[in-house]
Amino acid sequence: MFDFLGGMLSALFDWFGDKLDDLGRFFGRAIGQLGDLIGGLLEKLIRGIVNVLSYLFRPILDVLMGILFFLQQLLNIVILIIKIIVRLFQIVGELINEVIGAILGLNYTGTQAYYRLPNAYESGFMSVISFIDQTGFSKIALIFAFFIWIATAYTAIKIITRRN
Amino acid sequence: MFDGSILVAMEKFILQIFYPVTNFLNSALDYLNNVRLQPARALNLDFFLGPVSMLGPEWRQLIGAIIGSITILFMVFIVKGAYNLYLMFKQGVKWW
Repeated sequence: MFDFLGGMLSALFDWFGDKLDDLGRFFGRAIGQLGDLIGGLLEKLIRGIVNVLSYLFRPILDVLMGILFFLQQLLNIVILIIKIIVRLFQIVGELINEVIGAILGLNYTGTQAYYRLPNAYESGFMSVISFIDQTGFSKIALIFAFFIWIATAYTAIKIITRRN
Repeated sequence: MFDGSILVAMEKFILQIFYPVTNFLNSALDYLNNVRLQPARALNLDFFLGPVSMLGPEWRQLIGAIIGSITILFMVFIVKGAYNLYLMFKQGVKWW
């Protein structure tokens, strides 16, 4: 008797347990599917929004990039012009250096090593020079030098104080 | 249509506009870079002022005075020119 009742109760509990298990499994599966559905929907929505935005803003971005490219080319030209100006100044500086070298390289020592007269002509020339020197001929050179220095000072002051 | 073709077209157009200018400036820079200056050649006046040096020491001093005068005037001229160049550069920088 008790055995029979116990067996019935245990069968009843087993049945209930099975049903509860099924129910729980059903709910779990339903929640999972709902989550999957919502996730897929959200993913599709985000992808669609991105597509629409890129479709809308792509030409604007392209135009902005084009304007940036234009500015880049303009800056390129400015850089080229600055390079040319700097190079011109460099060439002028080199030229000034060379000219200063040429002017400072003018030398005169007064040797007669590169000028030869035949002996007879040279003795005649020297006698004429010594005769002329007795009359103060060499003073003319000193007067010339004095005037050259005055003219140099005048011209230098003129050049320094010139306004343009 | 909106797959970057606008950008490509704009870049092509801008390059077409700027190509002659950049080409011209680049060739000018090339020419300037190819400029090679002659080294300075000094002149020895002893080669052709022998008769003057035979005249006497005063005339040699006169030649020396002429050379010094030329040197001083040239230096003053170059310094003034460099200063004017600096003023021009300043004005150019102001213009930029």
